[in-house]
Order: sequence, then C-alpha cells, then structure tokens
Amino acid sequence: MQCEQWREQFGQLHDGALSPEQAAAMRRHMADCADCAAGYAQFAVAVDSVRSLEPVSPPPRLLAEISSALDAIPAPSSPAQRAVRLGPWLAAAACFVVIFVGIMKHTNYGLPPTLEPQAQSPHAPRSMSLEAMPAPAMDDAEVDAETEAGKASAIVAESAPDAREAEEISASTARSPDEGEPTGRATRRVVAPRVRAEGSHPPLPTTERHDETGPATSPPPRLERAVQPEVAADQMAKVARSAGGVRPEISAAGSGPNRLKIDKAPQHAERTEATVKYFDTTPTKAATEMGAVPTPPKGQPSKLFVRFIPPRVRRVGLPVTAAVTLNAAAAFPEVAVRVETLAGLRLAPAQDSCIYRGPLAADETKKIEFKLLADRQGTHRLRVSVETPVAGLQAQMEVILPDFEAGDDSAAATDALGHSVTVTFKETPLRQAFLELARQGRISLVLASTVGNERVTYSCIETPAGSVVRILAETHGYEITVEDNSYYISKKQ
Amino acid sequence: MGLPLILHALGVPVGDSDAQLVARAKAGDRRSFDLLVQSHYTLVYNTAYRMLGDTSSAEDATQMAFIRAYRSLSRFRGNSAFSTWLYRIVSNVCLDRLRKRRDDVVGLDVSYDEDSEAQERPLPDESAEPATNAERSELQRIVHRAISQLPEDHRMVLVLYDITGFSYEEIAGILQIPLGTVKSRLNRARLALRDVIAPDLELFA
Repeated sequence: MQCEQWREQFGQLHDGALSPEQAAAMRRHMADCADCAAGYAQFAVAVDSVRSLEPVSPPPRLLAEISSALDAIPAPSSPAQRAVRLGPWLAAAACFVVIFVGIMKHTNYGLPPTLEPQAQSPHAPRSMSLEAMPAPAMDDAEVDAETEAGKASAIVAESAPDAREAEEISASTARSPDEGEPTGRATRRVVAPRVRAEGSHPPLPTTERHDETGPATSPPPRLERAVQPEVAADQMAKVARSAGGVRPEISAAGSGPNRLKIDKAPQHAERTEATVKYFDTTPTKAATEMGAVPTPPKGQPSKLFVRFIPPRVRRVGLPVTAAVTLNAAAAFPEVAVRVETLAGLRLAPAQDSCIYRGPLAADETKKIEFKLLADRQGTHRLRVSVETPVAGLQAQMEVILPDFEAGDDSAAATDALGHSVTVTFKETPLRQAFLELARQGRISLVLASTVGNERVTYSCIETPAGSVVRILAETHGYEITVEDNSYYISKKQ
Repeated sequence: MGLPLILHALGVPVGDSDAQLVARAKAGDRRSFDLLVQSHYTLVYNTAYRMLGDTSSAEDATQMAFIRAYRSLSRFRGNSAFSTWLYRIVSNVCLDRLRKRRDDVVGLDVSYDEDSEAQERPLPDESAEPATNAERSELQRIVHRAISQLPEDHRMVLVLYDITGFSYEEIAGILQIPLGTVKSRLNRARLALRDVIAPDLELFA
C-alpha cells in the first residue's frame, strides 16, 4: 500500500473506526515510514485542536428572536397548513392573499361614491328593486341582465330603466377618468347578446363587438388587453358600481318601482369588516388592490377575488402547475384570464396568453390551472391579468419567481426571508428595486399594478431580502403580506 | 469527543424526547417546538458559526434554520431522527449563505483543486466582528480561521463530525451522501486543515 492510501485512513485511525487488524497494519507502516508517522502526528494535533475549540454561546436574545420569528408562522397544523396538505384547491381557499379586484374602487360596500349624492338627489329613485321591476320598456341589455340577476343571484345590479336615465347616470359618473361618454345605443348592442342567457353582468366586450359599436368607440380606459369600447365601459361601469352590493341606505332611500333592494349585501359588508384584515370598503379603495382576504363563507355575497399563488419552479424544462383562482358572489357571463410570460418562462404547452375566457357563476370558486415551463435558469417573471366586462374591474399583477437552486429538497423549503443581500439603490425605480431583491434574495414577489416606480435610495449589507422588501414597501406606503413564501405588495389605503 | 458532549449538556432538557416533542409540535403545540428549539439551538448555532465564520451570520442561519424547520415540520415523517432532519436544513441554510457570499465576491472565487495545497480562497466574512470576541486564544483563532478556509463540502463534514459530534452514518444521512464519501471528505478536510495550521501549531508547541 502506498503512503497516499495510508493517509486516506488517518481519520478513521484517529476516530477508532478501523478494524483492529487494519489499525495494527497501519501502525506497523508508520513504524517504518517516518513521513507517515510525522504526518499522522500533525494530523492528530490538528483534529484535536478542532475538537478543543471552545463552544461559543449564542447571544441570549437569539432564543427570543427565534421564538418571535416563529410567532409569525402559522402552526404546522393550523387550518392553513392543513389545507396545504389537503390539496391545492383547499389551499387556495384557505387564507391566501388575494387580489381584490376593483369593484370596490369607488364604493361603500359596493356603492359608487358617485351614486351617493344621487341617493339624496332627485335621481335617487333610479335605483330600482329588481324584484319589482317590470320588464324593461326598451331593449336595454343591462336591464335584461339585471332581471336575470335578480333571479339568479343574491346580488342584484342597479340599472337605468331607459336610455335617458342611463345617460344621466353616465353623465353623473363621467368625472371618473376611466369612463367615457355615454352612448347608450351602442352599449345595448355591445352587451345584449349573451346577457339574457347568462347572467347578471354583461359579457366581456370582444373585438367584434367593438367593431359593431362603430365610431363611438375609443381605446379602453384601463384594460390594457381587452378591447373595450368606451361606451361599453361607461355603461358597464354603471353595472360595476352596483353589481357588488349596495349600501343599506339606498334601499331605504329608494321608493317606487325603481327602489333598489339588496338584502344580503349589508350583511356581507359587516362580515367583511369584522373578519377580514385588509378588506377596505372605503370609497378611496382603488381598483386592483390586494389584501389578505379569506374566501368568503359560502353563500355570502362577495366581490370578485383573484388569487395567484406563485408556483415553485425547480428546474429547466420541467413544467410546473400554477393556478389562478377566481371567486365572485355575482355571476359574470365572461371573464378572461391572461398569463403573459415576461422572462425565462413559457406556457406549456404553447398556447395563447388567454388561459381562460368564459363564464363565472355566482359563488363559484373557479380554479384555472395552467403549466409553466422554465426555459432557463435565472429570475422568472410573468404577468397575470384578469379582465371582466365591467370597467375598472380588472386585476393585473406582476409575479417574480426566484431562481431555483440545485439540490433543493423539501427540507430546504425556500424561506420567506430569502437570501441575504447586499444592495445599494440610488434613485432606483421601486419596481426595479423589488425585481433586484427578488433576484438576489431568491424570493417570490407579486406586485399589484398599483405598485409604482417611486425613486428609491437605500443601502444594506447582508440583510435578508425579505426584510429589505418589507422596508421598501412600508416606507413607500405599500401594504405587504407574506403567504406561502411569497410577498404580495399593493398600494396601502 | 468532549466538546459535543458539553454542547449537548448545555441544552438538552430533562424530559420529553425529540420524537415526542415533534409529534406534539406537529399537532399544533407550539410550546413543544419551542422546547425543540431550546434543546438544539446552541449546537445549531455552534455548527453555523464554524461553517460561516462569524457570529452574526451564525445567528441569522440559526434563526432561518428553525424557521424553515417549523414551516416544513408537517413534511417531517420521522423516518430519520429529528436531529438528522434538522441538520439537513442547517447545512442547506449554511451552504446557501456561503454560495450567496461567494456569488457576491466576484473575482475571488477560486476553484478548489484537491491536489494543490496552497489555495487562495475568499476569506470568511469577519467584518462583522473581531474574531477575538469569540475566540479567547490565538490558537483557537487560528483553528477557526483554518476551518473557514476549507472547501464548503469538506468543511461541512468536518464541522458536523468534529464540532457537532455526529457519526459518519448520521452525516451520510444529513448530507445524503454515501458513507464512503463522508469518510473521504472528512479525511481530506482534516489533512487540509493540518496543512494550514501545522506551521502555526509549531509556534504553540
């Protein structure tokens, strides 16, 4: 045996891990070989010096810090975690941060502020009781829609009984920059066909319908993707403002056949306020906001909720399943969900970015699954948007997925705090800063479209990326929540 | 093997076994998990300290390891000892941090050649604290520094064996590598360490 081979057994000799015969043979060799003997002597000293290192005492505060860090994590068998074990469906329903789509935008419990003065104004009686409402005197599709809604859904929509009133409503709400000039006839054409058949909201305008509306159309006010005629936006906004529920005052203020009667909405509002952490029902709530809103109890009316749980991409070429979950109390004849892959990802199999276009029934929790495939390593980004026919009622979020790590196993589940980062931002656009933190810190970020590009100046050394994200978000007035190892950032109200 | 015994003696509570505490923690008893943390954190901290080289990194890594453990506790099925599972997380946390640190130090990343002896490596991050705070003697400082200069996978085995006090078999389970690899890495780590500190040790002889 060569000296090299003996040397390979120094450790086992020192540890007493060799058989007596092996150990004896080795000692015989060292008796003859001065190099090995000296080498082993030094080896033993080195090993002993390691073992003689005195233990270091952790700082006393460490235990308390760990304990408080654990406080922020749901217990292993909390409902949320049980849901994870029970499957992705329940997981989605349990407690995830949701994107709250903008039906609450200008609302008090769903009522647009623009309608508030109307409640005390001569126009107030325009609100109508759908139960009592006669068949529409004209072919106003929205009226038809609401007649359907009254039958089908706990949430009923307010509408104008004729074109003149529709125009008045439109005019009264024209101050919203999102809404266009009223042209009722075009709207009727836009929304008529499917509404009768399908439910309480007009269908999503399509390019074809857009063409039908003729010269009155203009680019959609907010939707980046859906082609939405402004006229339709206007009329639909009207539906939007009323579709999500109406304050009790309206019901009380209304009179005559046009009185709007919503029985469950106030109940929902109370429940919402009582139980939901981030649910903001003040009129200042902007569209496309996110909050940690648990799924409303079944049977409770709700707005349209959109959840997207970032998938964990683990390797190139291996498709992972992601899901967008929609839930609304009121029926929508059509919603569209789009996934645009921005960097490093593609849909698998290759398909149109619109992964779903179709109806959403009342109280339905619709989960739309799709598969993503990583083209390469690095940071991956995608954009998820949900469009409805209702103006202002859409969500868009940018999702940043961390680079995956070789050898990642279940025991090393990505920590929410991510890796420590050393960064310096000088007048850096906020979204870019978030992107950089997600990349370096390998954390998942979901940015609502309301996250702006304020200039950020910040510097840190070896700080967990999650902490930096939180600092930047909070100092710039954003709401941040962490669920399932992902950061959800949206405008704070 | 006195050191690991001392460390164990610092934290092991009298009473419930890890398995009992794990079972209760999985059932939602947070106090039981706290007891697990209490019984392991000193040794986890020492492991991380020797792996990462500085106390503030060790604190972060210790905290992160327990956070990860708590999060994935429901996935721990008890096929191995809790400590084996916990230290798999600890080693992953430490290696993540080292990888990250290495990524940050552009240009200093020298690939390790096991045959060559004098390697230049990125020094451990000691900016956070003077090493003397933690190390009472010059010899301890030399040894600590020498450990920090070992290649990461070798250092991991050395620390788990000589500092933390795991057996070859346990380390194979923790790092999920063959037993033979544990032995050879450990031996190479110690040989490399010997070569680094031998000149200094002569000064103390």
